[in-house]
Parts: sequence; C-alpha cells; structure tokens
Amino acid sequence: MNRRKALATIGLTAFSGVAWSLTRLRLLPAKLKQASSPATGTPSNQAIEDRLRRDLASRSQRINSEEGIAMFLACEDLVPDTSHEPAKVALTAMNTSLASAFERNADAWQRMHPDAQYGDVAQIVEVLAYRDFTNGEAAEGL
Amino acid sequence: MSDTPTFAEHAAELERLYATRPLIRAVNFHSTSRAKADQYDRELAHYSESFSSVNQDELDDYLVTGKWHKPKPGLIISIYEGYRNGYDVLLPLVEKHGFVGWFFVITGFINAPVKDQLPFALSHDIDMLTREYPDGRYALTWDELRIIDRKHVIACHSRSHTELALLPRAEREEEIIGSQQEFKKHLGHPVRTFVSLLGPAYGQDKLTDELVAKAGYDFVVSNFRIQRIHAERT
Repeated sequence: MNRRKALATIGLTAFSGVAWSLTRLRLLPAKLKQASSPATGTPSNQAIEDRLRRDLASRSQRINSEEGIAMFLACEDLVPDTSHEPAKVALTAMNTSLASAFERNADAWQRMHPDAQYGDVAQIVEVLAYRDFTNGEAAEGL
Repeated sequence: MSDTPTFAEHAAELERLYATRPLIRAVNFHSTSRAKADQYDRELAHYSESFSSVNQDELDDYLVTGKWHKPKPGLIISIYEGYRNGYDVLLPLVEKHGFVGWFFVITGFINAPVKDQLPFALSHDIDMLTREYPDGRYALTWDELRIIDRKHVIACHSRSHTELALLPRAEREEEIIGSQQEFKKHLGHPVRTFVSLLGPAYGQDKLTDELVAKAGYDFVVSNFRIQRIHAERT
C-alpha cells in the first residue's frame, strides 16, 4: 500500500473533533440545499464542482508512488507546558482561507458523491495543496 | 454500527484542524526514480521560490509558539520508506534547492540483505514500480543514512511497515522501540520523529501512544498532522 492509499484509511478522530463535527453536521443538510448567491461574490456551487472535477482529473494522471504529493499538516503541541502562550494565538489568514476552501470543496464532493466515504477527504486536501503549491503560497486562490 | 467516521464527520474534523491549528506544508515523496530527476528538479526549484526549509528544531519552535521565523513559509520535504534513489536522485536536488530532506526510514528494509530487498518491499507495501538497480540493492545503507544524518532529518517509519494497531504488544514494541534502538546503534543517537503505516495520529491508539512515548520520540507525523509529544528541546 502506498502513501496515497494509506491516506484513504486514517484512524478515528479525536473526541473533541467529533463533538465539533456533530455541531457542524447539523448545518450540513441546509448547506447542501443552499443555492449560492452571485450577489455575494462567492463562486457558485457549479463552478466549485467544475473546478474540483478538473483538478481531480489532472491529478489522476500521476503515478503516486513516484510523484511528490503536496499536503497540509496541522501542528499540535500536546506537551503540557504553561511557559508559553498557546500556539493558537498565531493563527493566520491561511487558516481561514484553507478551512473555508476545504469546507466548500468537501460540500461539493458530497454533492457530487452522495455515498462519499470517510477516506475521500484526502483527495480534496491533495487538490487544495496542489493549487496552493502551484501558485506559491497563494492560499486565497484555493 | 461501524465506528468509522462518516465522510461528513471526517471532513468536519479536518476543517476544524485547518481553522484552529498552525499549518505547515509538506510534499511526500516515495520512490524517486532517475527517469524523473528533471521533473523533481523543476518542482523543487519552483517550491524554493515560495517556501523555505524546515529542520526539527525549527519545527519544534513552530509547534510551541505557532510562529514561523523565516521570511518564506516552511515546506517539509518528506521522503518515505528508505529507497536508495532517495539518496542517489532526490537528495542532491533537495540540497541544490536549499531544502532539508526528512527521510522516513523502514529499518527492516534497510537491514534486509540485498537479495531479500525486493521480496521484502513487495511483501511490505513498499512500491517498486521502477526497478532501476541491476545489482538489486533498492534500500539505503546505514553508511548512506549516516551521511544524510549530517544535514537532514532521519525519522522512523517503523521496522516493517505494518499497521501497528493490528499487532500484539510484543510485536508493536519491536516496531516502535526496536527500530529506535537500531537508529541509536547505527546513527549514534535516537531519532526524534515517528510515523507509522496509515499514519494514525497520537491519541488514536493507547498502546501505540504508550510505546511511542517510551521510545523517546518527540514528534508524531500522521496523515494530516504533526504533533509534539515530548517536551525536551535540543
């Protein structure tokens, strides 16, 4: 099994994450039905899905075991230590743009694949990282 | 009822992580064949325009403070498994473009006699699409790892590239602690970073967590996270 396959089978989420997830899940059905509004300047659902399909298709040509696969990693300090401020104080615009882009594309994925599987998220992350790396720290273009 | 989270649950958890944790970029390589050297060269050149290298001390500081102290964001160049072409092909390009390579090494692959390396790879989920070495040596040697260790990061990717959660305690100890002992023996020091097959995060398996901590690793890399689990700073 290569790294790409491994990404499709990661372990269980942490308790706090699940709790947060459940909060968000209550909002998901409404979001799935929501039509995008051109007046807001945000891309339409169709535009998000079309771009996602295009990027997935372009990435599908790769031989993953011999390619560099771009990825984002979230950093967590699990060591109890009161000598420093929590890292969360230094969150950046990238957090907002990546989380927002991930949410848009995950919603698009679920519209495109009503039977979406738990491991599918890796494909979305790869696409977002590919866009980011291609543009060179241009998270706003995700 | 399955304990596996749904897509929506998993997506929501990842969105939460991306929104609330300091982020760092990584690019994951596995086998880096000579035939693709020009492609890797172009990609690394492109990355070097926008991103800077990351070593373990810099990562440690970032994990503690959430602040990155270089003008360009950090990019971790991960090189998985311990393929010989990671040294022959990719390492010179990584150095040419000013990056630090993070070599995630399967010690059982390194320790396998040359004649056994291909069978070991094929039976341990180590992809062998391109077979470019007529002498049959596909894994790094400890001599090569000692050279890499001078400027780059050597990290543990377990002993046999096995899903740890499926193993009994004694075998898991060999994978996590036994491999660390091999690094101490051959490099002269323990390695600080651990990642296992399928990349479970710290906190997802109690026994694995216990053994990873006992082995003295500072960082656990998983599919979507890097976690600092040990306080001793160098």
